[in-house]
Amino acid sequence: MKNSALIKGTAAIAVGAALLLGGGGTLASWNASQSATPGTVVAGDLNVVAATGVWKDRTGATITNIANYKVVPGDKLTYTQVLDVTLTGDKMAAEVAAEGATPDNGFTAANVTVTDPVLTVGETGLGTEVTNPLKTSQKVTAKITFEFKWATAGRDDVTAEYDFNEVSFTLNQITQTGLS
Amino acid sequence: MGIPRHLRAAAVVAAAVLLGLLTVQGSYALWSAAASAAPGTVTSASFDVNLSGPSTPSTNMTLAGGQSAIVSVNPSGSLTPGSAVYSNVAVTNSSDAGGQFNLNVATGPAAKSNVAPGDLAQYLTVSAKFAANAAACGTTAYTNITASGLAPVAVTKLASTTLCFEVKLASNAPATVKGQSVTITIPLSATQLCGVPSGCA
Repeated sequence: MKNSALIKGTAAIAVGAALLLGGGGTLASWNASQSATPGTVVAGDLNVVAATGVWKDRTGATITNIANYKVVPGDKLTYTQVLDVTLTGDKMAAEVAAEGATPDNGFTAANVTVTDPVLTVGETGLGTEVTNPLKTSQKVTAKITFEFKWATAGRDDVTAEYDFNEVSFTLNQITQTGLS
Repeated sequence: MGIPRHLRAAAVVAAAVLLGLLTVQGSYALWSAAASAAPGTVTSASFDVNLSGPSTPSTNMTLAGGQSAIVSVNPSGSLTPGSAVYSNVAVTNSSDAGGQFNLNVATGPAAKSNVAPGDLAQYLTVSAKFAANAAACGTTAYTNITASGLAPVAVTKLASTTLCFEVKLASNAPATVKGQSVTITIPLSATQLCGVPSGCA
């Protein structure tokens, strides 16, 4: 008698489970999905790298080591420093500048002419002067000239020294429309 | 018992200042990069011209104190009427210039003065010439040193020239000048030549 009740109960559970499964089938209504690919955001670049500077004399001959070269009245030396400017970015714009530190001048001021660093377009030193702002990667050349005047009299300024110290180059991004 | 009014006002001001600073900093922090170069030191050359005679040590034409060096050259041999004695001074361009550095070496007029009371000087003729070296001086082709001196010669860097002297006693010199002495002074100058292709103004 007890077994009969157990069998009936089990059967009822089975029928209920079957009904539940059948009811699950009725949940499969319409649905849809989509995906998007926003892509990869890539940052630009800004950099300035100085190559090795070069000294040349008035005739254009390269001076291998300025520390071993002795100037005399009439000498005019030119120092060129190529800068590799990297500017990448759709709204990239930057200003490049050069500034010489205060030199240690052992010459009589009237006997020498020394220019401040001038930035020119390209890597020859013969290009036009750089106009800021720059918006693309390019080579820029800084140029400094040192002239020991021919008019120097007597034995003035023999074995004198002129130490340029450090010349610094800076590249600063400037804001553009669309940048905050 | 709330927060006093002045404290609230100070807090508002501080917040405003902080917000202002943050705003400025936000717009200022753009990219930047820097590089540097060291052009080095430019050094001028020495202006050294060395003088040396047959029996005198080499000396710089300009002494350490800035005064001119004096090189004493005592010609060998004795003068007799119609004869001559000779000597020389080597002049070397010893500059350590990095580029071209040529010199013009020239003399001024010769000055003769009797050492003691006497009149030997008027019977002496001083002539000179430039030669490649002492061995090339010889006894011929000397020219009188005029009031404007001897015509200059160019001496390149680290090269040298030799100034050769001839002192001749006139053949009509009287016997009264025997044993007398004369000091002969010849100023020597070295001047840098223009090394600029386009000329020196």
